[in-house]
Amino acid sequence: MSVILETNQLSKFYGTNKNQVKAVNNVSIKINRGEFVAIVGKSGSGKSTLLHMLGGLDMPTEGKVLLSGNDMYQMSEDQLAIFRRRKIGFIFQAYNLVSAINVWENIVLPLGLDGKKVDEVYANDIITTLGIENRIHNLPNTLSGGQQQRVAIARALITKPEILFADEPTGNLDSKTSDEVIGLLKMTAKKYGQTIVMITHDDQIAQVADRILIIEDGQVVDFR
Amino acid sequence: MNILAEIATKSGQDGVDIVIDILKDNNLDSIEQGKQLLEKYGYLKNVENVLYQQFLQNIALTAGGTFFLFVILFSLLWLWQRMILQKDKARFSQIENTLVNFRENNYEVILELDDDDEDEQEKIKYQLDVLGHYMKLLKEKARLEKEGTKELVSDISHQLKAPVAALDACFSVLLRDNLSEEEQKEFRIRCRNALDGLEVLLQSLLQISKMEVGLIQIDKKKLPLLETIITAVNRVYPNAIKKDIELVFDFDETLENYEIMQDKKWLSEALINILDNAIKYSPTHSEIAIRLQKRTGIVRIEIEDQGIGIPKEEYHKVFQRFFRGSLPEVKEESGSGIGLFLSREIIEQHHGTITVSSNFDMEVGFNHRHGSKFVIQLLEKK
Repeated sequence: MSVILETNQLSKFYGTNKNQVKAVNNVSIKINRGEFVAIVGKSGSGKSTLLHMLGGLDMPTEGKVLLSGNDMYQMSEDQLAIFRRRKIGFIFQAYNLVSAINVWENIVLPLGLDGKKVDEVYANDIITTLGIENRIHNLPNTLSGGQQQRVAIARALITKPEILFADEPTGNLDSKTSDEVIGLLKMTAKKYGQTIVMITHDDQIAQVADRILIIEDGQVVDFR
Repeated sequence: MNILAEIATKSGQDGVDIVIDILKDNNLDSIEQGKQLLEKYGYLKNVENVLYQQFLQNIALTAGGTFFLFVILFSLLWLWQRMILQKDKARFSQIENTLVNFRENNYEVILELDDDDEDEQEKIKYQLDVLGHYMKLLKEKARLEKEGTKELVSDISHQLKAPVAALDACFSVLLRDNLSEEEQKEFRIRCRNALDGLEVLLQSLLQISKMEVGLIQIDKKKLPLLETIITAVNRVYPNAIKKDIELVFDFDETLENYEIMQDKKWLSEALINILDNAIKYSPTHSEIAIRLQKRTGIVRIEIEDQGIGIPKEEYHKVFQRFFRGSLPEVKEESGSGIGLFLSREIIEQHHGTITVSSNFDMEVGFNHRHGSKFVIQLLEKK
């Protein structure tokens, strides 16, 4: 399989000497194009730190992150910002929608930032697949959690990123809605050939992934 | 006119007359006279004037300078244009080389960009990148499919080894002369069992190989989901009756004629595998609930039993090819580890998801009935 994301002895330490905490310790993983990978670990296992480093949001103490061959932390701040905007999509636990603008505007916001035109056919296709076509004129606050997360998924997909990172995307949802959101995430990803890396502590949610990495004390301990 | 006025004032009556004549334009002599007059006042002879010479020089200088500057500017422009053209040319040949490389299975994009380059160029590079990756992916997929088939063949031969060896051992024993009536009977039964196991395995393998090699294409049509579920339930019903297991079907009435894009045959096969497992690993006189629910954008099917359950660590693994659970109850039953794998494959080909959860770790303790709950989600047809 062609590798899209690769880390090489990636580490993140906080503090010094005796008080040093190894949040992520010497992680070398490869993620293939089109794959749905779940990183599973308990809280404090270092999974969020790992995801942030994979997504270009947090500088590693040691090691490299290569996204489609580009060494992310060799870039300047500005280059990295543009790179992130064009190649990476994010979905967060707290949805992070802009409350002052409506759903449609939220979804196409990333395109506006990049001065790109909206591919209406694609946008409508995502919106219909995610079942939010009747909500596009609503303000985010008037939607349920599940609906807000669907909007966030649409927003992450609209730029057709190379890879999508999801940080506990169902953390705030009940179990049926979680199944639904994860299901839709997977279904849309498969439909558009999207690569996804998802972090979760929930074994049931993780099953949807093609591959599961277990992380404990900052180290990947098991592949399934 | 100023000159005329001056002549009139300075030359007295004479002048006035001349001026009048000039104005009236009726006497050509006066024109001549006027010329002389002008000459007298120095209006015509200023050609030899020092200032005039200077003036001419200035004009020449300015004109020359402008021309010179123009030439320089023009050549600069020309050079600049040529540079851009050459840069473009270099880019185009880089793009060409990239495309040639693509054809020769090298998917690296060679396109050098400067910092001050336009976004458009960067976008072209990005699109080339994406195209390259896409082609690589396609090729890789083809290779994997080929390898998958190889792997399958070796897996199948491996799986067949064990039952064939058992059968072989059984027959060897049976062929001995010194067996008692009872022993003979026992080994005949064992042979029969081994043969049955082999048959079950063969059937599953046949199914899986059809699926894997792509002989069977999932052919989706818009059909009622309920019918598919009923077909599956009918197929497993005899097995359920044998163990006195009740199948409880619960669905929303609005879903009675609800249609989705599906391959009815394969989707019911997927459900049969799950239901078969549920029956196999459930105690007698228990209950299996089948629930059908419409949610936003998807339909949800739940199949919940009161059986042995599945440990958390095995949630993901039960869907893997040839995986068999670690619980002693699983080992007692015959099985090939293919059913759920096939179910997942079929459901994924329907762009759906399947997951399992269990109360296994919660030590419910009631008759050791932990139960498993399979959740299948399928995309609503728009």
